[in-house]
Amino acid sequence: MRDGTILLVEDNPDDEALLRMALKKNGVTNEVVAVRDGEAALAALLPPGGAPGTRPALVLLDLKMPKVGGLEVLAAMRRDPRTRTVPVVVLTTSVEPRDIETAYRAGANSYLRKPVDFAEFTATIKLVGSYWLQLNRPPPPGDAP
Amino acid sequence: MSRGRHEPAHAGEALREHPLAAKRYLVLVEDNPDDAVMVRMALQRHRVLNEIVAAADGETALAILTAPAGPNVLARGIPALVLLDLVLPGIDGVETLRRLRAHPRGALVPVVVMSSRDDPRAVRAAYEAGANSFVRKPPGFDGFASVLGEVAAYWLSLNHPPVEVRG
Repeated sequence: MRDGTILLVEDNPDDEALLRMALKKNGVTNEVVAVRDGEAALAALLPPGGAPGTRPALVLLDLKMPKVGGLEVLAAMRRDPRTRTVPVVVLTTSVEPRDIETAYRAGANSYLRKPVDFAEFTATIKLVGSYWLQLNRPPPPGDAP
Repeated sequence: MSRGRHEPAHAGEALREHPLAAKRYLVLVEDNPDDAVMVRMALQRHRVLNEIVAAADGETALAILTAPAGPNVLARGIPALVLLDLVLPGIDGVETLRRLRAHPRGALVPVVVMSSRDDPRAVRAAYEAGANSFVRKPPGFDGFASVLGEVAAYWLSLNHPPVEVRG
């Protein structure tokens, strides 16, 4: 398992607890930093003044959140050289075609439906962990602006 | 991870087949016929039944992927996945990807770059051009088949590709 923080952008504490349980069950020991809304995500990733922010190995991003929504976070990340290539997996309950298309157009690497059933959720998280933290080659740090 | 790296991951195993990706075609952009055969064999090993449309160079891939949706053989809609080699005759994989992303329809296509090259410059160039993911091709069939099994499981069973857009 590759080192690196997982940034979870999720307003529902129950979903956060479920995700942490699923990761633990699957032996994923990466640090998970959870933020409750898009504003907090942007504060962590893109501090004002161009200072380097958190550069997670993976962002798991919910779409429907208070204050700043997931799509706005994604668009801001893709505009900024600090986070332009950080892998972002949208994890949401919506499978509305419009949401899926908009997320890809905004720069999502992948779009996943959040399963309701715990066994399915665990299987999903297992594959997310092994794919993005083990198999996928992450972009090297220090993107050219 | 509890699962060993080379233990096969069958597409759909433990995950609900999702009807969108399962019915869609894959595009394989690979100029080496032996490697193309290896991809087909590896996918068969993992019971991946999606149709595979092969393109031996970037221009052909762009023609397939950016043709308007319709009944034409070159207009099948958005594929579940494109597997893109980096080293190609004519325009290379990165340039192919850049041109694909500049197209309104091509901007939505999930693309996994698979390459035996994985130096930081190549990886960065692929992401800068718009790759969804970059996976290293390991040497040897068993390792390659295992990696491809995991790629297929993720992108064909779990990921939701964009739905078709027309026009």
